Order: sequence, then C-alpha cells, then structure tokens
Amino acid sequence: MMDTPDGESCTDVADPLQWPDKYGDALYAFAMARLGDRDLAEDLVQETFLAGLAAIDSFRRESSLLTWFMGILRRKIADEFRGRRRNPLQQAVAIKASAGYAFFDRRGKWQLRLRAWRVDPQDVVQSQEFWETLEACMDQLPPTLAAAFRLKQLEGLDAQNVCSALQISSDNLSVRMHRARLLLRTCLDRNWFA
Amino acid sequence: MILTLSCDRAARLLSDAEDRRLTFVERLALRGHLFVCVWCRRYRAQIRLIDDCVRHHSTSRTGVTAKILSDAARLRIRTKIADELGGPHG
Repeated sequence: MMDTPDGESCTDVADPLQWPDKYGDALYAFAMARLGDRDLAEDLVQETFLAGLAAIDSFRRESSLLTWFMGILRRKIADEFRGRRRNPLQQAVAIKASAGYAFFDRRGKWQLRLRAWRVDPQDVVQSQEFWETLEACMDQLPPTLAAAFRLKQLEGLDAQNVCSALQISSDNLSVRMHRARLLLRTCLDRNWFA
Repeated sequence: MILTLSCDRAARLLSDAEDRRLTFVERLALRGHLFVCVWCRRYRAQIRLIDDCVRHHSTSRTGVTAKILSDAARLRIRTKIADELGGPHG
C-alpha cells in the first residue's frame, strides 16, 4: 500500500525483469487504444522498457515509475504517428480535405454539396472492403482527432474516460469528434462513393 | 437560437447527438433545422453509417486478446530486458 513508496520504487528500479508483469498491461492498453495495432503496441511497450532501462539514472522519484514509463511511451506513440507511412492502402486513399477544415463558409453554410450515399446501410456496415477504406481514412486523420475517435468509438470508452486519457475537456472532445466525423465523411465520399 | 441554427452548428449537434443525449432546446433547434436542410439530413445519415460501421467492427474485434499483453509478448520483452542487462546467461 502506501507505507513505503520509496522502498517500493527502489525494488522496481533494481529489478527490471519485473517490469513487464507490473507495468506491461497498463502500457499495452494505453498503446493499443491509440494505435489499434497489436504488434505495434507490443513493440512500443518493449521499446519503452528498453529506453527506460538505458535512462534509468535520470528517473526521479517524485513521479511513479509507471508515470515515467507512460511519458516515454507517449513520446514513442507521437513519433509513430508522425512517421506513419507504412501501409500502402493509406497512401492510396490520401485525402486533401484535412487542410483548413473548410467545410463551411463564413455564415456557417456547407461549402460542399453533400450528395446522398445511395447504398443499403446494412450492406455497407458488413462490408469488409468498406471497413478497410474507413480504417485507412482513420489513419489519415490528424493524430489528435484519430486518438479521440478511436478511443471513443473503436475502444468504446465513455466520454469521461476519453477526456481523462487524453487530458482534454469534454467540450474539446466534442470538437474533435465533430472534426473527425467531417473528415471521415469526406474521405469516404471521395474514396468509396466516388 | 432556434430560428438561426446554421449548418455548422447543426453538424456539431449531430455529432454530439452520437455521443450524448442532447438537451431539449438543442433537440428542438436541430429538428427545425433538419426539416428545412437536406444537406444536414444527408450528413446525419452519413455519420450514423460511419459510427455504426465502427461499432460493428469494434465489437467483433475486442476479443480476449485486446486488453492485456499476451504471454508470448511478455516473455519476449523480459528476455530482451535480460539481454540488455547483460543477462544471467553470460
């Protein structure tokens, strides 16, 4: 419990072999929620521990070891998003609409003419091909929007948990979800319904 | 507010409606706008389709493996750390 926090972190620092058991699940869940890719999440957890090991001398006890690892992992995830160019499908459906969010004019009217999607929603929802396009579109979202949308819709976290995971206000989350949906709609319109 | 709801605010409310229950006033304003705006009606149908699709795949993929580190990964990582430490197998 809380009796000897110092002693406890001493032990942890001294025994890195215990790290995967003690912190692995928390770090993995965090990475999964953001990346949605199991192999990649596992890799980043491993890299986090190795980076922690290399830099253990710089660990200061005012934070817990888990918090410290989380900081390392966060940076690795940010790097990952920045450098994302691996999936060929992602390039195939590159979208241009993300620049500037110019969906509405100054008076708040639609800039684009939204055409109807003439499909059976039931078919589309089940379609593997549609899902792959949607996933590629999600990968195209700016990272902050992608993280919010994935956590909320794909991982099924409630709004409160998403806000605390991303350290944002509920209003901010609402804006991000709104923008994510605008971009996803446009991406699908261009790449699936075109 | 009811009479002056613009498309951008309507779209924001449509998004919010996917995530929370709108207030009475918001619902009223939105209904009035949707009645006269075909673009926003289309937008609603489209983002609902997107959300339904994501939810559909979310439930089918959040199996047992999703939330915790697999034993294989755990072992692999521990081995890596041991290697890095100079290992007991030295």
